[in-house]
Amino acid sequence: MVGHDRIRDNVIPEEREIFVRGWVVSPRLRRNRDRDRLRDLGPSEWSVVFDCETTTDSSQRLRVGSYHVRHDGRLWETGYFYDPDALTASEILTLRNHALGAGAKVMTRLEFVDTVLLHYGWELSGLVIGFNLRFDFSRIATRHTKSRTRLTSMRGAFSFTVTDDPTKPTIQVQPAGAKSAFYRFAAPARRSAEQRNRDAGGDVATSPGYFVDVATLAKALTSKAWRLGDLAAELDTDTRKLAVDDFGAAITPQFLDYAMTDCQVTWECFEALQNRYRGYGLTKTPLHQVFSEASIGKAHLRQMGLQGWRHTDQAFPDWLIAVTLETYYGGRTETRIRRTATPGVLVDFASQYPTSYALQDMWRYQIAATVRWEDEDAASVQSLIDSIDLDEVLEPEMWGDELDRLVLVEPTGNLLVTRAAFGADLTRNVAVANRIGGAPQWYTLADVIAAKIEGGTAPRILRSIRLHPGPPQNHLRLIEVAGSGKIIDPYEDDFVSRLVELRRTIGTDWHQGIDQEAAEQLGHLLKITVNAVSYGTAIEQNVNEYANPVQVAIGRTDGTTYKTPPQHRKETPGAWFHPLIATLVAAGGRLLLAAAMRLVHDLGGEYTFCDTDSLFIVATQHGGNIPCAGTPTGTIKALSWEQVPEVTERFNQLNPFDTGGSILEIEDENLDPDDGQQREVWCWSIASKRYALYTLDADGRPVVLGDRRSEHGLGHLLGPPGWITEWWTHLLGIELGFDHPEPGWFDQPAIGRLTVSSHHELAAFKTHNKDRPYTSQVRPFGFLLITQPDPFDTSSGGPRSLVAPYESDPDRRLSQQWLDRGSDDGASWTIRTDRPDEHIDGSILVASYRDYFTSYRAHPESKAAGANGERAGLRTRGLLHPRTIRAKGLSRIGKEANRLSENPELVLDKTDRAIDYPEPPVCEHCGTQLVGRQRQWCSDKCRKRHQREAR
Amino acid sequence: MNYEETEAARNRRTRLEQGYRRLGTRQPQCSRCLESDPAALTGVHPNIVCYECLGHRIEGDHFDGRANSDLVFPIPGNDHRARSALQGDWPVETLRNPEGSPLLRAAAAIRSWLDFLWLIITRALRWVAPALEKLDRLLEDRLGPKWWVTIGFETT
Repeated sequence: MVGHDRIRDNVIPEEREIFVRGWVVSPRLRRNRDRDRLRDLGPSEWSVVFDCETTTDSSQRLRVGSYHVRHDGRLWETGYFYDPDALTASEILTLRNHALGAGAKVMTRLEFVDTVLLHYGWELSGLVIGFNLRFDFSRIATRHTKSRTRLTSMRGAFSFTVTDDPTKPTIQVQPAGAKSAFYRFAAPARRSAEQRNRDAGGDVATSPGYFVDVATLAKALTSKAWRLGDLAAELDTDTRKLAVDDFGAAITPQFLDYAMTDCQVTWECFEALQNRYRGYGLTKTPLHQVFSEASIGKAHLRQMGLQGWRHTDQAFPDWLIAVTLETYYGGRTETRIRRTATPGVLVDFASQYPTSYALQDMWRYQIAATVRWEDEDAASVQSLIDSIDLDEVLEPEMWGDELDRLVLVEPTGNLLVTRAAFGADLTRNVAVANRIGGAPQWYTLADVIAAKIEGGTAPRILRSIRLHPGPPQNHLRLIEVAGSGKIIDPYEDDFVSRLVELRRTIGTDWHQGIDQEAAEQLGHLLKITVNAVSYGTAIEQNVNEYANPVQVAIGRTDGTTYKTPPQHRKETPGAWFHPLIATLVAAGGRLLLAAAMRLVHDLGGEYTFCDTDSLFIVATQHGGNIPCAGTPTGTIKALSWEQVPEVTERFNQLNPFDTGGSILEIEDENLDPDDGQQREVWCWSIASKRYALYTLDADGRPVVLGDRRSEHGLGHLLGPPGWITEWWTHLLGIELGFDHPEPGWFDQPAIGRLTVSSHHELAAFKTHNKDRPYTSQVRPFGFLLITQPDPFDTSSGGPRSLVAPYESDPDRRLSQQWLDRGSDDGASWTIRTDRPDEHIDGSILVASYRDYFTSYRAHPESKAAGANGERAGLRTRGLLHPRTIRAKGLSRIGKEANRLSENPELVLDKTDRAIDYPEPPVCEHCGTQLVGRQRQWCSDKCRKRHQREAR
Repeated sequence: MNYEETEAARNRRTRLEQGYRRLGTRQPQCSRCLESDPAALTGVHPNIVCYECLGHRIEGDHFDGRANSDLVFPIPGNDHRARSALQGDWPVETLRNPEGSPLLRAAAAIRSWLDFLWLIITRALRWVAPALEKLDRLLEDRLGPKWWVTIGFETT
């Protein structure tokens, strides 16, 4: 049964603005010959490891720090530094006595900066090492400004002044994610290039320095965020972190030992990670250039001698990049059966994006110096689409031969992936919607085929562009995988496929005798490399903040460009940006998912949710009908457990790797861990990315399955340990009709932790910081608390979110002063969650965990419709359907720039949302772009004509 | 471990690093002879050459600094460059001595002698210390941290 009532008749389409990714026209990349000439020597043999211990109040100011200087890895000097204003005379005496006994130096913060940090780190080009370095730099700074460097990657960075000496550099810190940052010593202000050159002895650039944040490095190599103590245990270092009871207490010898040990542990962790990285043999990418998992992927490409596509292909037109980006969407996530308990089987596409990459032979594009394109007959593509069926989609030949096409389509009632603001708020989501009419839009052929096999109908093809990889780049080198002896030839092998195969066979037919830990490390390296190469690096766009607003040139698909109104943010493509690979791989992933859905529907079954590469198929041991609202019969058919393999095994032939088996696998969660037998697993799905899997105990009560419960929308909150599982257990308990007791912490305010990583976040503390010395201010990379006022207060003009300095004690959070995040007027309040009906001066009612819970359990699934065709609201339960949409217009946007975007509850101002690239206003009469002070008409003549015609 | 850092030692290290950066390598060497002092080398790696090989075999060296006396010695070009670099550590007042102070002249003379002695010692023996350090590292890698105990070598 094609479509399985996915496309509903007699539904009046809603008019919605459609959003597509815009192309910021960037200058062609050229080699910087000056930079080539002054080649990067890399760090010298010196290294400085340092760590700051701070006060526990809102300023988190430096009290005492410890450092090691090492030469070629050997300890050269150790010492302590301190803020003279933060320690008492007796504490300084304690520090001096302890240091004397320990053979360590003692100096003030400024002395440390001048004689240690800047000497070894900047003048001697040593490696500066720390754990969460950006926090430490902020602690030793005397002021900060917004960087105005011409260096694109550091635009808008925090520029920290760390010394009074005007001939010494500032330290620029550009946040690059939740835990990482780029660092750089910036040329001292007011010094001409000539002066710098003369001082340096001639033709030499100011050293940008070399930095390694061990926290960032560990995350890049292990894909996991670590605390220092846990990392040391994981890496089995000789020295382990000591424990301290009270960080706010007076300085004691034990505390000083703790501080110095932190330095040693940081160094040992660094050494262990350095040794691990050296074993990978990625000699073309030094350790200080590893910032994330993607860096590892890029390092492999660099090792092969590959260059980024935009370096080598100067002829690919901007309009075609705009077309390519317009077709780009991420993973597909949706809830099909809402707020209804459904038994079933969780299936998952193993390595979905690498599989899509390999099936479409994207490696040809990866190593190609150029990408060629040609217009082809739209009618022949139309007939290809009209005739295609599921069997052909499940043939590997179709993937390799047909999918590298971009097509301009006119929707005629088809299930097409769509990005729109489906809900009442401005949040844009990606969903498969029933598209009728509206302006033509570009799609990948894979998305059009997905529409055909899922909905039964294909849109009208207006134009088709066929793409071909050009000749491969010259001088590519063989690469040995992680020092394992396995050699990959980039001209002969598909790098991604080989890595996937190697990963699946570690310790079996190759690399025999490898111990368990080494096998895990190697497997992990291969996994992050595969993911980065097959997808992540290809769509890398970096967002830069500009102190002064800039107009951004956006490419249209017709070859013209327009300039946006001035704005503070702009995207810049990464070095390995290859939008064609990104869009084809992601679309291939969605096609795989659509094929699986169609197979389920063909068997008469349903699924509860899908999440990029996984699908929860409604199934019971013997099959049969189960109750479900939103259907004519009030039931849906559950497949039997035996039928599920009929779905998964159809994907056997699509396996592009030589390891065999299906790419769609039944997950281990479906098996009883005790006896390995299949068990009944249930699912409760509220909205996309908000679901939990559970089993039923002997009393029929739900037991949440390990980590198979969503943290989406919750992960930012600071609940007690294990609170998310407790949250879901409570939610399932009451939804399934049990008298489940409320957790004890439900009355507490729902508070999240936020790191001050942008100038905007810091602006809320402008008044708080006023008249305070810099060291007592709330500064960049300090930790904040954030909470949301009660909706009533918000609607009556009150603050929309409140922030306060970090406080670990939940009780003290109630009495501390909270500031309006969106304002710098300095007004502050205490917070409360009780007495909701009262107005109390100086106190503001904020959302408690209970309030959050109430809205969370009924969170609307705006991107789907209920049985009545209306948007799935709070009360909608049961089977959902795609929304029916007519495109009102096409707007271009950039990537979502802020991590808070993942938590729509906290998206409260414009800087948290995706970047908009609005078209400039045009003359209402002739359509000419308006300039300057023109508001409606480009000329008086147009105004008069317009008014005359209106009459 | 280092307890007695002097300003001069710090300056020398800084100057060395700047030389490496200017030459584009941390292991600079004249492409025609064995000169490896960055102060005596020019060019960018791999096209590095020393001043003597460029033709500056002998140069006149203002012994106390140009401002302090007219005394000029002919010395090899590379040594002259190395010595001039050492003068970078002198206080600017001593080097420039704009008023011609006799005490500063005396200070310059002493500093010059010290620089010469330093130069003679380092240029004659400079290779020895790094070689010993490398050997120690090699033996430590091969025989363990107390390699001298392993091979029965008494250090007293």
